[in-house]
Amino acid sequence: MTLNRLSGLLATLLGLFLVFWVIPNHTEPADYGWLRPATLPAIAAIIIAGSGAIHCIFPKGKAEMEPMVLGRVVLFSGIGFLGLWLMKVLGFLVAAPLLMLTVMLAIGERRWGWLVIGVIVLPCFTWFCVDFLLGRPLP
Amino acid sequence: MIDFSTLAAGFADALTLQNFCFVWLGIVIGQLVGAIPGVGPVMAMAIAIPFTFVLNPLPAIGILMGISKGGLVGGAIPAILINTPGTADAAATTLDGYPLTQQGKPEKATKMALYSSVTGDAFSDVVLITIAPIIATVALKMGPIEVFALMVFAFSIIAGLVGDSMAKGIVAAAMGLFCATVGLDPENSTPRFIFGHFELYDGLPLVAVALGMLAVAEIFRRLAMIHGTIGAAITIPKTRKAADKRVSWREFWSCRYTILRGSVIGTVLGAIPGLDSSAAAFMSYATAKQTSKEPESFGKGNIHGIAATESANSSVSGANLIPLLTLGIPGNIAAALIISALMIHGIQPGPLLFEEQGRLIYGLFGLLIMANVLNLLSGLLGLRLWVRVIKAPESIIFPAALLLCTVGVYLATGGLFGVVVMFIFAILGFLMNCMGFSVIVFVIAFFLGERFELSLSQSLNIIDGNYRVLLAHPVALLFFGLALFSIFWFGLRSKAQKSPSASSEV
Repeated sequence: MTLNRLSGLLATLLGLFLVFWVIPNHTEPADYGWLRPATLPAIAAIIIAGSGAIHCIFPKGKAEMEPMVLGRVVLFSGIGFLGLWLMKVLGFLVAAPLLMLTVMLAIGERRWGWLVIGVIVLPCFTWFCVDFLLGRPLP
Repeated sequence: MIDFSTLAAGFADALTLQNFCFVWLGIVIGQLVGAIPGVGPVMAMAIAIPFTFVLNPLPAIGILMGISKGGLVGGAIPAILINTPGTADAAATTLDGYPLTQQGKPEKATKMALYSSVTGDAFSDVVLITIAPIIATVALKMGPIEVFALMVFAFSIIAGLVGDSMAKGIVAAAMGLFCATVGLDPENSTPRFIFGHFELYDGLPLVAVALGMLAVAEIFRRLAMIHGTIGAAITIPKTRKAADKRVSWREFWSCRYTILRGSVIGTVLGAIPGLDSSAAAFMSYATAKQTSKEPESFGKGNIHGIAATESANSSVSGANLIPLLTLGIPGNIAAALIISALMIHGIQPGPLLFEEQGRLIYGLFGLLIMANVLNLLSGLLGLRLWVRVIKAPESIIFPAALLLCTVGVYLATGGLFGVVVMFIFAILGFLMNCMGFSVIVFVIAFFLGERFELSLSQSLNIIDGNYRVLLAHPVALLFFGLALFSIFWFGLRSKAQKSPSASSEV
């Protein structure tokens, strides 16, 4: 099965998951009114499942995914979420330089000048503009 | 009937050195904050309002209008240079702006954005000045059924953006629509899909979803693809032709219909309260793509794409003043801030404003024209500075863009929850891109979804099972007809015209 065809199958499974689990469990029933809480989400989910099935059977277009790139995207997403957690715990002024340092080291930046700009100057300038000048508190 | 002596007196009031300085200051601030993703002109306007207390009404409104107009130009700069829209209005500008930068033509792209933006803005100002009362009357007559019909028409435009696979396009649109239903439902006000997070009562934040899918997904992809030597974020060849750095008159003139169409779309949508410039930009882009002789070049660096989006999103700002000044109804957040500033100065917007404060209103119109000229001049000077920024290495540009997106969404949504949503949608956007699902279609459907459901609910209650009621709404019937036409024209017809080479890949 090609990735393109698989994308249709995944859409179908997503649609069915929404129809049979998410919508019944995360909307409240209402027995009055023309448009009930589950009506439009259910229509959207059925369209997702139906169109996904059609694409699975008659695939068009293309789908490409490099495992290496996917793995690194997962890595950078993880760094991002970790950075957010650190911002919540330690605050922006500590977490932002750590986040920048980790990202810059992960992509292979080793030049001191650029590291200083990225890790110290940019977060401090952002904090100065937003927190100090605009008076909007950062985490 | 226009009183020409009042008109002349109003314009004379506007053309003073003091007003000139305040409007220019507003434009410089607007371009600066517009270029910082997530900060945007609305926040700067909100901060500036208290400082305008000490000014006379005309310079006070002038500085706010300057910030608003400058922000429209500024928002396009990071959208084009680093694929991160400075404001939500500029999200559609990334589609063709960033590819042009990748081709080593950032000056051409930013200049085209500037010219289109100023032209669209000037167009809507002229419409505002000349036929404001007429348009406002028509817009006021649009009830829920007409708005629903307009939403159906807007969805039908999506048919032009689905790409090679109609099924995938429909899946993307349905996913966007589904995500738009998160939060309280419009008819019963019961929570849906909030998974215990009270932050989701108001739905998924648009800025987090749009920045995540359009900007952060691309940042992650670019970061993931960096191997070995780190080069500049964008490689601009030194031996570029002069033509790559400027927009010739011939190029600008070739975009005249695109700009005019974008300006009309933006002006019409801007005159309808509640519809903002993002919708206008995407609708204009879709229309430009489908009416183009080279639709396949869109998304790959076609200046018509930039002209379409920037003319449309900028023309909304002038048109938003139509319901504001004539009916006292603010069309968007920026207009709401202007209305509050007017009221602070003892001016009550509404139908009587033209009679009671005619001189002030014509003075305001004079400021709008002045602001357009200053916006163009400031933009031409500022663009050179911004283009230099992208010569920094990608190890600085993309982490910095990620940091700015994080801070911007944090500020816009008021907490880290919005940033988490942004990251989740960034991953979704990356996966959808890999699988060939249109992210743009998703974002448009998401954006239209909430208003679509609300107007559908209101319309069904008004119709109450008697569909003959629709016959009493000719404007709605017109929009339904246009929707059918656009599905045929943009979707079915263009698919049928495609050669067999675009056939299925099994």
